[in-house]
Amino acid sequence: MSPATPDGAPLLAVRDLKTHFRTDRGFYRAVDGVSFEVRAGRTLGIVGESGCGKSVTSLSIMGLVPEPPGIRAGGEIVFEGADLLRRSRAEMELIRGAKIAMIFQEPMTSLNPVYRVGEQIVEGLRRHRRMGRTQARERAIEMLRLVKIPSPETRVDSYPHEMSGGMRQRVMIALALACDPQVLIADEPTTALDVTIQAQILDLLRDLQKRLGTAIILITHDLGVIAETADEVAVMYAGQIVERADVRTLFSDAQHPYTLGLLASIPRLDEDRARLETIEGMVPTPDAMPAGCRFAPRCAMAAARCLAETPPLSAIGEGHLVACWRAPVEGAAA
Amino acid sequence: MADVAAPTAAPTGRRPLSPVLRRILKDRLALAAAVIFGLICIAALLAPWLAPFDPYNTTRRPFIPPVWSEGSLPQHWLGTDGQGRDMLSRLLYGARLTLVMGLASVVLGGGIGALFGLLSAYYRRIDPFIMRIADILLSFPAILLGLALAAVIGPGLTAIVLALSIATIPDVARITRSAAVVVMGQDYMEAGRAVGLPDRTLIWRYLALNCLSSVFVFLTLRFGQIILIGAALSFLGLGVRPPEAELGMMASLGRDALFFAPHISMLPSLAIVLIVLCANVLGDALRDLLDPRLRNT
Repeated sequence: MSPATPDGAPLLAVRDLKTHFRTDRGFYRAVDGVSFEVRAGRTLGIVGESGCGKSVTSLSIMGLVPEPPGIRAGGEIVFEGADLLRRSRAEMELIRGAKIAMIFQEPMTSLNPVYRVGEQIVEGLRRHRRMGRTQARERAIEMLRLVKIPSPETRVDSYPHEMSGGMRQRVMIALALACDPQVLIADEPTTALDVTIQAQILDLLRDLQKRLGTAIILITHDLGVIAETADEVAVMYAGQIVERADVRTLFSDAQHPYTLGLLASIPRLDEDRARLETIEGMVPTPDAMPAGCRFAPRCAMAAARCLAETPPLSAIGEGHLVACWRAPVEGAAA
Repeated sequence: MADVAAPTAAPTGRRPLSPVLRRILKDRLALAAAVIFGLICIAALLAPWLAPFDPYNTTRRPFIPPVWSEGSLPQHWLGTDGQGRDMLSRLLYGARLTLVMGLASVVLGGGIGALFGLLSAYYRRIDPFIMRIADILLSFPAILLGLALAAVIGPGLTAIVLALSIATIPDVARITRSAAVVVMGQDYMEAGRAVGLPDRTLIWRYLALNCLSSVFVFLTLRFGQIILIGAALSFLGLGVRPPEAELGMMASLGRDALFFAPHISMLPSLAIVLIVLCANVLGDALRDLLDPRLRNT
C-alpha cells in the first residue's frame, strides 16, 4: 500500500478488525474486516450512515466495546508496536486518555454533571501525568485557553450545566487533548452543534492538530465535514470499508456506487437540481446480510456476480482502494 | 419530589458562603425543619444534663397531666407516666435512643445496600446474583428478622439496629441499582472511561455521586419508616426494653391510659411525627442542594 500521506510511518494501524455482537436475534457483525492506518498530523475521515459500524470501530480502538455482548472476533489494532486488542484492562486504562483520546458526539451529556469542568481535566492529568493539584489546575486552565474558552480562570470552576453546547464540546476537546495524546478519535464531534459552532469546532481541531501534531480519526456521516477536515477518507457500509482514498481523489474520482450515492445526496449550490438524489432501499439488517457485495441489493449497477461474490478491497490507483467488481470506471463521479 | 427550590438569580463563580447554608437560609420551610431537627438532636444529645429528673425513677405520683391541663404540678412540665416517671426526662432520653436507632440503621443498611446496588449496576455479571439475594432478603419481614436476631444475640439496641439495617439493605440496593443503571447509560460514563479512569474512580466519583440524590431522598423517607418499625419491634419486646426509654415504645406503653391520660402516648407520638417530618423536609431540601443543576438556577 503506497501511503498517500508523506508523514512517515503509521501511528496506529487497524488490520482486518472484526467486532461482532451476540444478540437475542443472532450474530451481528458490526465491524467485519476493517483496515486502515493513521499518521501523525493527518486526519482520517470515516464516513457512513448510521449503523455502518463506524462508532463501533472507534470504540474497538479505545477498548470500550462492552463484552458481552461484544466479541473481539479477529484482526489487530497495532499501536506502539503491540496489539491493543491483546492488552490487559489495566494497560488499556493507561493508554486511554493518555495516548489515545476520544471526543464524543453529545457534548451536552458527556461531562459528569456533578463536577466542575476543571476538575474533570485535572482528574485525567493527575492519573496519567502524575501531576500535583495546583500544577494540574494550571494545565487545565491552559488547556481551556487553548480551546479558546473565554476567561478560562473562572470557567475552570464552572459546572457543565452552566455552559452552552459549543462551550462543552470545547471542554471535551480540552479534556481529550490535556495529556497530549498521539491519536484523537472524534466521533461525530459536531453533529449535535449549530452549523456556525460546527465550523468553529472544526477550525479549532484543525488548528490544534497543526500545533500538536495529533493524528485524528474523524467519524462522521457528513461529507461536508470530511471535505473540510480530512486528509484521507474511508467510506464504510454495513461493517466494511467499501472505498478508501485521499480526500481529493474521493471527491473527484469516487468509484464505489455507494460513495457516488452519498456524494449525489449532498446539496450543492453550483448545480441546478430540483431534488436531491437518495439511495434506494435500506441498509441490510444483520440477520439478512447479502451473500455477495453488501451493497448489491441497493446498487443500480449490480450484476449477477455482485450478488454472489464479495468483492475484495483492491487498489485501483495511488492509495485508492475500492471494493467493487465494476471498478475502475472512468469518470464515474462526473 | 416537592420543589422547595427558591428561584434566585445567584452569580456564578465565587461562592463565599457554603451553598448548603445559603440554600437552607433561603428556604423558610427547610430552615424551620433544620432548626427544629437541630434542637431535637441537641436536646437528645444533652439529655443527661437537660433532663430535670431521673427518667427511671418511679417514686413520683403516676398520671400527672402536663402543665396545660388541670391538676398538673409545676415541676413536671409534661407530667408523669403510668409508673410515675417524669415525661420530659423520658422524652429526652427516648429521642436519643430513637435517633441513634434510626441513624445507625440508615447508615449501616443504607451504606451496604447502596454499595451492593452500585456494584450490581457497574458489574453486570454479578447483577443477577446480588439481586436474587436482595429478593430473598426482601421476602423476610423486618419483624421476623428482629425475632431471629433477638433470639440469637438477645433483645436490645444491637439486635434492633441489625434487624432494621438488614431490612433496609434490599430496598436501598434496588433503588440504588435502578438509579445507577440509568447513570450507567449516560454518555459521561463512557467519556470517563475514555479518559482512562479506573473502575474505582468511575464507581465513586461518577456513578455514586450521580445516584446520591435519589438514594438520599429514599433514605430520608426510609428514616421515618425505620423509626416506626423500630417502635413496633420495641413494642413486641424485641428491641429496646423497659425501663429504657424509646419513643415508639413509650407511645405503646401509654395505650392503656389513652382515655384518661392521653399525654403518655401522645407526647412521644408527636415527637416521632416531628422528627420524621423534619427529616423528610430536610431530605428534600438537601436533594435539591446535591443536584448541581438546581444549585444556581
